[in-house]
Amino acid sequence: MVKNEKEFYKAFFYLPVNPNGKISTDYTAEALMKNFTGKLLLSPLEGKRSFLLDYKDGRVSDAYKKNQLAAKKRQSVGAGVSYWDYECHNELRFCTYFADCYGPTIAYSPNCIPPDVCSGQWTVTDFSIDEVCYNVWYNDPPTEPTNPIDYSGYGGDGGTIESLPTIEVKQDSLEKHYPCMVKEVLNKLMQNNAYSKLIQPFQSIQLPNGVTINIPGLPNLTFDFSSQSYGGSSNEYKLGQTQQGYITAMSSKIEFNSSAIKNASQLFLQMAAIHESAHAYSTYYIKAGSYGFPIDTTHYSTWAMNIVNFEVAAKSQYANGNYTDHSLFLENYIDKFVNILKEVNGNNYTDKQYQMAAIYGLNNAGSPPANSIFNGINLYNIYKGILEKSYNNLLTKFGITAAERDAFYLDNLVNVPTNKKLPTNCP
Amino acid sequence: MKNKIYLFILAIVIISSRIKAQEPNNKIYFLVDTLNMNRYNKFISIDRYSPFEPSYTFYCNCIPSLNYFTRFSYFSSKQKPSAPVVAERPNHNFIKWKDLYALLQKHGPHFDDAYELYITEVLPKNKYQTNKVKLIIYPQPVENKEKPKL
Repeated sequence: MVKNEKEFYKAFFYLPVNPNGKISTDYTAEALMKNFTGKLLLSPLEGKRSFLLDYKDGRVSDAYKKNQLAAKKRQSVGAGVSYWDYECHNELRFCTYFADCYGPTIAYSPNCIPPDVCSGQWTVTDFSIDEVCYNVWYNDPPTEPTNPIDYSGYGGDGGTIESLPTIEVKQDSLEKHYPCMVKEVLNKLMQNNAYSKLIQPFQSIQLPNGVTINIPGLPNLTFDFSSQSYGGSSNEYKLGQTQQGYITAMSSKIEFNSSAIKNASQLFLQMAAIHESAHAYSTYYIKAGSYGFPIDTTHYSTWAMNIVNFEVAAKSQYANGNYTDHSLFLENYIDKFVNILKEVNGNNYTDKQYQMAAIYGLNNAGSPPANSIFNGINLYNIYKGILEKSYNNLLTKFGITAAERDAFYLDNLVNVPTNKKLPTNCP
Repeated sequence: MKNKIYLFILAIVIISSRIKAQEPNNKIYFLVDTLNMNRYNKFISIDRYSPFEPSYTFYCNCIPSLNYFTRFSYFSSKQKPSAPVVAERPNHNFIKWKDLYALLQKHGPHFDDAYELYITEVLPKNKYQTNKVKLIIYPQPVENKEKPKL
């Protein structure tokens, strides 16, 4: 951790390349700055722009300083159009890997190079895509032969990603039939930092050169739609549902209610996407934990939860996902749900309205699981009561009455002005 | 935090009561030989339910109430490795496919309550591996719904 008089930065060092061309993977080594040779990545605690400095023998390298001096000199005489600038691009950073190799092993790499043991067995469980900036000198156009400045060591190093990788979550069917749901709801949410972390475990990474990073065991998330209850005689309004553990144990399939897509407000459709994505994340998170690979709670895991026993949680989730997940959401996620809605919609709604949207459906304990009667006691009724108590405590905390909650819900489910619904055409 | 403790205690109690009710009493063995299966008649594939759960998918909705391909899996990790590979075909009394199908039809989602199924997989170079498998049942979907009072 360093400070430049104003801001705090995290500092990560790159170990130098060995003569045999291999990057050292001694991740436990401490960097002694007094004789450090290599690159130092400085990342501010706020913001995503990082800076890469070139060090040699504990000092900023001569080549680095030479370029800075050359830049200042050129600028001071006002010659030509050359200038000194930062060049930034996005890179994969701060990866957490796991492998079942000589026992469960977790590795952390700031520059996303998996350890060279257990080759090919590493699975990325967490990562970040950060903007990294290099000092770059933009020279004058070549009008006469000059002594070129040595740019070695500044950007363009092998292994960097030249532009933002595109992110893929499967949504083909939804996009085909309800393009506005994808464009106006999902794509906007994906721009939100907290939401993007929620679906990060399910993303495949497509590099600009067309290569897809296929990571074994990577869980999938599919966005789809189906016909579900919406009003009618039951007066039950479903925004969506999630099939957890579908096809593979850590994957999920989200189905939005096609009636909700047509009739509900964009605010509620956003909340449906957040709520269902949280179910998908919970499935992934609890399953990974039950396999002995709990997600690192200290590195970029905004949605990490304090689960006492992952195996029991996994069984409980299997028996009744509604109850287990909604309990966890009420305890861990409400503030995050509210913040995402506020960041996406700004001042369009009051805090209380965001809170009412965020708690939609969280009092649903699901259907009684099999064998819930134990020694004549209906355990389902007991834990349903616990969930409802947690939910009611939140209503009290937020100062929400049942009447104003229901009125707000109907305003966003049935009596929705056209300008708050999804547009009908999204070319 | 108190709620969380309740949750886990109750979950444990419920799950243990479920486990108690699921003590199978019959072992059955089924041979899976995808290596020598005609590709046009292939009705089973070997895949993975998770990085630690190899699975066998029968291209058959053998349990109609589940409405998806019937699938079995077992858990395998460094701590809990799968069964050893042997060089000779085990001398089990393998059940025929039509008989296994009939049992799946009869017991449906409760198949594991009635039987312990072991699948012997034929590996290259005439090797064999037998693992106890469990029926995969996808959980019921979780729902986001409300009934606001009009």
